[in-house]
Amino acid sequence: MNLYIKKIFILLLILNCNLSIAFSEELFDSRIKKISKNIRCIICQGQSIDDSNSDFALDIKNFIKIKLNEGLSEKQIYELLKNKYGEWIVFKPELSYSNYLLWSFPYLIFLIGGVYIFIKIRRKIIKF
Amino acid sequence: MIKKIQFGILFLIIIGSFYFLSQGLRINKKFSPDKNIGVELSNFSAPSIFNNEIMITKDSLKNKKFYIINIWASWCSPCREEHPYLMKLSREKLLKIIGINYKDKKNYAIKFLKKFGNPYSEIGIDKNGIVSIDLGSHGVPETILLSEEKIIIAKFVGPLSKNDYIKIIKIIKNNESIY
Repeated sequence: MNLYIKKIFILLLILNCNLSIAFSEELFDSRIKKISKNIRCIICQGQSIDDSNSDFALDIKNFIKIKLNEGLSEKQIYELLKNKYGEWIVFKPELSYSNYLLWSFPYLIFLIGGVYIFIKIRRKIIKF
Repeated sequence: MIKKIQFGILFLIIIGSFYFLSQGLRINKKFSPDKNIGVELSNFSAPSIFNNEIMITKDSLKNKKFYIINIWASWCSPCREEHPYLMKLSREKLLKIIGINYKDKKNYAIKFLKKFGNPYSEIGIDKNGIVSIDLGSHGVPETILLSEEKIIIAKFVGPLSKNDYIKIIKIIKNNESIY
């Protein structure tokens, strides 16, 4: 009986190890995919690295994989690629002096709209 | 009156928004390798094709006024097209040419050099394309002209043309830099 429990325990341990390896690999692949989706394929413009099968896209995917293995963060990888290929390589531009208006525009419209609705409702309540 | 002011503000906001968003359409969305001009070359490291223990790095670029890094492969037909220009450039005393052999087989690469000549002082192997990415390359062939200080003077994506060759020679002869 004791031996039987031991066998089950070892089996569960192996299963757990396999599951955790599979899970960490999946997590790693999803990180590569996430970064690849935000990197523009310079050769096949309009497509992301994730969508493209060009040599350039494959090289960049490989580059991302190596850099993640080296322990670099997502932000550091973007910075590295931006230094080599310029800001344009990243689909989602970082907030900067040249595009702060673009980033704040939706919030600005939302705020103006909100204030407008607030004033309207307030006036109606006062009238009522 | 208030309604007119409100309408006016709304109209101005809409017109302003259209003007602001239309500015985005004017941005040049095509990538240009010229963006790298004037920038110092990134570090890279590639094992030599002739001796795996020797690494070709940024420090291999020394003792000359100008350097060329040429990314090539034996399977790439545009590389054959530009090869005569590289051969001519290899005769320039102020210039050192380093080759990066991109995703190629060593014996094919050596056969290619035996057949067409070897313009390179040193050749590094880029087995998986990472060295090319380190160099900020887009593919093969690609040629990077560097100054003594390893600053990128010019970048040629695709095979070198006669005009590119003339441009490089002019830069070398005049000892000028356009950065």
